[in-house]
Amino acid sequence: MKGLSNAVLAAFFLVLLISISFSYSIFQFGKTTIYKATLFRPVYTMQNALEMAKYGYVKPALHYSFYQACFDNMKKGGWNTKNEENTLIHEDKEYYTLASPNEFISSLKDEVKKNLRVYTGKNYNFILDEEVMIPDYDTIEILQWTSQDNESMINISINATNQYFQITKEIPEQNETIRLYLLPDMNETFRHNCFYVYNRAVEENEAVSAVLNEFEKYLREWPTHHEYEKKLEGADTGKITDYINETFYDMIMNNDSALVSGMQFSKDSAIEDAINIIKEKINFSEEIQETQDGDFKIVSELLKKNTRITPECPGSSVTVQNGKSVANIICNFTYIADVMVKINVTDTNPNHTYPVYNGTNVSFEPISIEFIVRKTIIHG
Amino acid sequence: MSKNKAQIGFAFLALIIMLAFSFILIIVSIESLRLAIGVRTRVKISVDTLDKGSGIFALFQSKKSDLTYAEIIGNLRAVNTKDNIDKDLAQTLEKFNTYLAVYNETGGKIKEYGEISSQLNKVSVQIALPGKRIGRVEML
Repeated sequence: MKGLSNAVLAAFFLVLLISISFSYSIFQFGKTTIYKATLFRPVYTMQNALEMAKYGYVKPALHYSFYQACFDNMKKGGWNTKNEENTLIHEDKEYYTLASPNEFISSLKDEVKKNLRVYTGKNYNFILDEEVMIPDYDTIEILQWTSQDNESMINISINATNQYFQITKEIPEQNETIRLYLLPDMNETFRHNCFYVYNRAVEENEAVSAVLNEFEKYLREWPTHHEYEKKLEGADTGKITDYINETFYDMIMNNDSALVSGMQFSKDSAIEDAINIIKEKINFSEEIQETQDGDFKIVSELLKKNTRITPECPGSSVTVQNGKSVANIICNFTYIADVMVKINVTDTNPNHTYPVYNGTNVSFEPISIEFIVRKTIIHG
Repeated sequence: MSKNKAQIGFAFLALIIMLAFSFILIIVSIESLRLAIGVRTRVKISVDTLDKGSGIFALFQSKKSDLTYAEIIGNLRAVNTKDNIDKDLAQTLEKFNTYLAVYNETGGKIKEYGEISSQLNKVSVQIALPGKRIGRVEML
């Protein structure tokens, strides 16, 4: 019986001990719960604010920044800045040459960075009173490739040196300050035809340049130097300049090359005739040409087709031989041709449009690149 | 013999009572630990069953919860990829019977759409819009 009493007593004390421990832990836990709940509730909201700032705000902002950068740069031949080398003014309008691949990517990166700053320049506001500091992105890399589905893909990675998404909140009830950070790096891949259109523009640029190179080759075949002797009759002692056309005519007619065979030249307007013949050789229609190549619409327009032939005859003289005046005219002819062709390549596939600000409003616009191909040839 | 049996029986009973209390203590400790290390119990909002544009709805709905918004944003962005961005954003939200105002970056209200029917609290979220614009979606 004594043994039984001991067992019951032991169990009783054990249960009592457990109960006291349990009650105490419940009491402590209750206190802790209130404290932790006060801290954790804002922490959850702050975490959401950070995630929303990064994935819900900066991520689409990066996409939109790229769309806008591509749209704006493509209007300027792929450049984002103008300088003496890439900009040409014709009839008070600015035109841009096509940027090289390296310049194209560099300009695109600069413009994306600039656009992104518009979005990230201010703190991010989430649910009225949560303010997230957004890092200032200073590193940007852009890659392009073609996917297995033959789609043009873009990969952009951005990073901010020694900066983070950051949110801070004071909890006066607990005399605590909560500060949360989120890493800034982001790597985004999406379908976009910016490079696809640019590559087509490069092909078009090469095609037009090849035509202009052929023209240059042709122009450089024209003779440039001639010595012409003219016996002047009596009072016919006009100025040397009056005989330059004759000199040019004589040079052309005595030229061995097949360049001008079968062509009609007038003694009085030989230079003008030659200019017209040379101009005709520039193989571009005066009218705007429009062609469709798959998704691409290519529009070319000849903006300028200037040709000049400038004579210089410094060694010319008029002498009297056997009582007759003789004019010795020695001329160098310089040929100058300046050709400017405007090209526009547009992706007309209706699925390949992107939301951008087009100068008037925000709308879905196709990717369209505009540039000029210019050739200035000086022969002589 | 019967005494011994009774003793064993009581000891066994005491052991069971002790184990039961220990079990409760363990459960309580685990819960405390979960809270201490920040394990969250997510509020169940069935994002999968919601239609396009419901992202914002879920976003507002979950204001009181600790739902992570990352997966919702796809819908929010999808709303912004239509011809008339602001209008479409609003029209999509109208399907959820919310009252939406779209703000421009200077805080001026551009348009108002929909009807007031929500029991939800007033919330506001800043969003990136195309064309280097910053907007704010607000439900009243």
